[in-house]
Amino acid sequence: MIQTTNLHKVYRTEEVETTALNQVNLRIEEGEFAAVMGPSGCGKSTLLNIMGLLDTPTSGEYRFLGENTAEMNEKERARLRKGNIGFIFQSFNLIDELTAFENVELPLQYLGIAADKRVRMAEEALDRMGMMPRRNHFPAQLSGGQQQRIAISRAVVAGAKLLLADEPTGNLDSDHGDEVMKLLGELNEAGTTIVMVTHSDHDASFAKRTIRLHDGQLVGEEEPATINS
Amino acid sequence: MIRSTLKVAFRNAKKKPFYTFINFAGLITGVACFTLISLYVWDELQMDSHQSHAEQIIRVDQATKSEDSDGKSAKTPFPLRDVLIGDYSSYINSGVRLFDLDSEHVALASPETQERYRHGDFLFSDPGIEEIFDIRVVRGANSGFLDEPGSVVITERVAELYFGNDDPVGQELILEGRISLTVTAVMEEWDRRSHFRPSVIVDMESLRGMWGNYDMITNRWRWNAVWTYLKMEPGADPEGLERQLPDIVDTYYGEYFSDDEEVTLSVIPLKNIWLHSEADSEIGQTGSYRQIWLFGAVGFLILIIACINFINLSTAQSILRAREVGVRKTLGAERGSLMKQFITESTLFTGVAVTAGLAVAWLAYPYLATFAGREFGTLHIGTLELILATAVLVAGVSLISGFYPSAVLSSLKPIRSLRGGMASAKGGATLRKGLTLFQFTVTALLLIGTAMVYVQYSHLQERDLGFDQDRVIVIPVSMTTAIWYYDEFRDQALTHSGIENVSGSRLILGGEDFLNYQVIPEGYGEGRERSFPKLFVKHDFVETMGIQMSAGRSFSRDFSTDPQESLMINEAMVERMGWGTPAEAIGRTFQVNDHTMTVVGVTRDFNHTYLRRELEPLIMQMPGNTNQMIANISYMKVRLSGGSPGDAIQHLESVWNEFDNTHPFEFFYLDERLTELYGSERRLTTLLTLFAIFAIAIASLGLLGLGSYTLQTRSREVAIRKTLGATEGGIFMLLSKDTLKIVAIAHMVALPPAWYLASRWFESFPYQVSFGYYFGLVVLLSLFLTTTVAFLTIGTQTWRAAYRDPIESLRSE
Repeated sequence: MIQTTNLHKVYRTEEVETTALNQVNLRIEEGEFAAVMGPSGCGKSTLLNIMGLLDTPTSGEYRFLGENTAEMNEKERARLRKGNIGFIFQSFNLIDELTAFENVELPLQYLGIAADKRVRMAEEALDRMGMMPRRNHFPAQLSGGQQQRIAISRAVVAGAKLLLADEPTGNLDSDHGDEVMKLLGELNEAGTTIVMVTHSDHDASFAKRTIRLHDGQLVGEEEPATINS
Repeated sequence: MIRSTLKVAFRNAKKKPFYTFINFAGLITGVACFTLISLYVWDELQMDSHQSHAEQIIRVDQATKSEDSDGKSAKTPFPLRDVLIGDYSSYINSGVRLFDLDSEHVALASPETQERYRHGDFLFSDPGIEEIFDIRVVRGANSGFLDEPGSVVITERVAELYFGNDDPVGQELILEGRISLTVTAVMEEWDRRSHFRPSVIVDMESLRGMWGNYDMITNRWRWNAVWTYLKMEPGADPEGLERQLPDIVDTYYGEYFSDDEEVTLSVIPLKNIWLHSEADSEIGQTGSYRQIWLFGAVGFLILIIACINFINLSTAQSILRAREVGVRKTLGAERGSLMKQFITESTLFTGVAVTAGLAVAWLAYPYLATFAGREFGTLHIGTLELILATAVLVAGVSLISGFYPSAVLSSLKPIRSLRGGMASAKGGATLRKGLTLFQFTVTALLLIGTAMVYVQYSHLQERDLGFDQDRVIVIPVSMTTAIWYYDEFRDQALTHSGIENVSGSRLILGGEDFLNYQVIPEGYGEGRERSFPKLFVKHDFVETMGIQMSAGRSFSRDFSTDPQESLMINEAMVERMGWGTPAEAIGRTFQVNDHTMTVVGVTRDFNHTYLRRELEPLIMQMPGNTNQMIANISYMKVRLSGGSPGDAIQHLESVWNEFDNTHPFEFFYLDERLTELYGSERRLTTLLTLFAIFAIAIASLGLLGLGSYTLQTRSREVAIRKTLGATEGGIFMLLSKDTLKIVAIAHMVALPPAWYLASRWFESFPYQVSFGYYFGLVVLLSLFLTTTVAFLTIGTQTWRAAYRDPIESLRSE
């Protein structure tokens, strides 16, 4: 599903040049649940953003679903992203002015799906996360765990094949964090490919594979020793 | 999608009531001011356009230039019309002369109903006026109503005065107690957009009954007596006609004018008369192109200030929404759909604000109309023009205010906007600062300009007129029988203790045109006539009007030859003649109509004509005989002593009724008349000031919004500075510095155009205040005012920010 070849990303400011990713070669197959770990500034989030087609590599190749994305313009990347990739952020990134339901419905609008179908799909997604009773609440009226569940509903509502999670439990206490991780596990069981950036060994233990980055380089891969349940 | 956009827009507005209020209040006020001003300006520009033949109607003006005078008159001699029609029939379809007897009023009476009134808005006209001007007849003949000598057309209002509900057509009215007229038609009131609106029109031939020498008078080329209106042939070029007019002057005027007098005839299209006429002796009031231009500019600037506010606040606000844009992009929103979202939002907001602004204008209109002393534009409210203008306004403002943020935000990489909306707000800061600077420059320009206009008008109004206008009653006496008994009237009037003095003169003073007379000053040979304004006065004129003497004496009963042999002049005349000091001018002579008359007194200069005009040399003469008296004393002036005027006026009325039973007693207070004359000007200045205050208020609202936005974006910086030891005072200065800088720079930018415009404006006034001094003062005042308002506006917020616990800000980051 995902294949990077010699992926390289450099951030330039007027005086400083920072290499965020250095010759990263990586392959993630459909149905995998991979955790990307490493110290702060090692390039985890950059890798995730390139995978999510939100950012472009400086050099190297990134193929998503068989398509080479390096040559694509923003519009084409947006087209490929829509419906295929879902995002989950540490800070949830729900739109404050929209209700839980409206937040979940939003990606469907951008996909041009008819209104009645949108309602059905969004309700299904909310229901899967146990959030139907909160459908008319605004983000500010929900707890962090609830907000992240809404964010997950939104990420999966359009049937994304790939779910990219950036520290999904970073703003949650451990109970709510575990709930979220369990939900991700269930989604993976149901066939969704997940790539998750995390600092937490505990969260990484939910994944089937851990990729370690250091100074922008891939330094190792391991299968998890145990899977928490 | 639209629904969701609207929902987000509404919820956003609701979430930040402060910004929403500022944004709306500014735009609503701006739109309301702009709409009202536009209506007024539009109305002024449309004056006389309602006439069916507006495009074809012109008036002929006459300029006469000599060594001593240079004036243009809206009036021309009696014989001109016939000559024009006769000689230029290929250009001219028809023409009428209008005449008002140079009199304040005419008296009409109905022998049938015994009703009698005096009318100011009356005219004599040639037959065929209805072919030129739209006259809507409600009773009687639709046309030809002035064809017969002795015809009169009256408005419905006048008809009701005399005849109540009876049919007035065929009824008799007596003009000035001696000329019998027959009502041939009743017309509707003239449209308020006409530059003259007669309520009584009498056929010109009826003048024969008043003037025994009618044919001689109406053949004179020397007297500019009538307004000559012509209807051009369809397609005929007025300028083409104008090019032929020098031939008329050469052929007909020559023998009546001396060689050093240069007469020029010109034409002015009907539609230009109201705003562009530069002629004296107008048939009615006229507007001022300069004032309209000023108003238009103020309206436009207010709208610009309001729009900049809206754009500034909208961009500032939307940049706070960068995160939302990032999320939407991540979820698949494309650039186009985001731009659409922002533009839809701003269109919605401007739409609501513009609609509300129009509603406010609608509600405020009656008050403004009352204040301005006239209606303007009710006919246009709700018409297509306004709807179109509003649509353009909405589209323009919303495009500008929606386009910029949408373009910036939608171009942001989602990653960047997700990482922090605040950081990316920097991009718009320069634009906003630039716009704010522009806004304050415009405000400063408005403030300085308005203040200068105000200073100049106040100066004009408070200037010493050179005569004492208080406690003076003016009684129009021309064509009355009272004038025949002037001395008896005066003696009886003075028997009342409340009456201090009585005199008479040709003009009211302070607001009319003067007639120039030809005289030969001492030392000038035969045929070296010069023409100067001359005022006929009776004994005690100087005393009654409170005019100061510079040298010599005023006309006196002790000198029985004064009426035939003596003159008074003003200081300006002494100077013009180069006669040295006023005392040295005593004893000098003028040839007046083959008589040698001697200067016996010199008065201090007083404003004998319009306040706007430069003081001119003036000759004062007494009527030499009864005929001169009747022709040249049009007003009696009565100075009241202190105390209640009621008794004195009652006394005057009873004396009046003894001498004149044709004309009802009428009078007015001189000071009230002068206030009325310059009242519209003052009201317009006040309005202008009011609108300038609105402009400042709107700009301040914008500053308030932007200030609080800046504080929001800089709260982290403030917190860090405070943890590092910055004092509250230091923080306050840091945050206020930018605003003060903008106010100061704005004034510097505004100075050159303000100087240029204000000095141009001042050039047109003969009596100017000391320009440089007032300009400097006004600029300092404007700087002080703007700084104070800016400080007051953002001061409290800045103070709060400076005193805020830094931990709070850091935590919320």
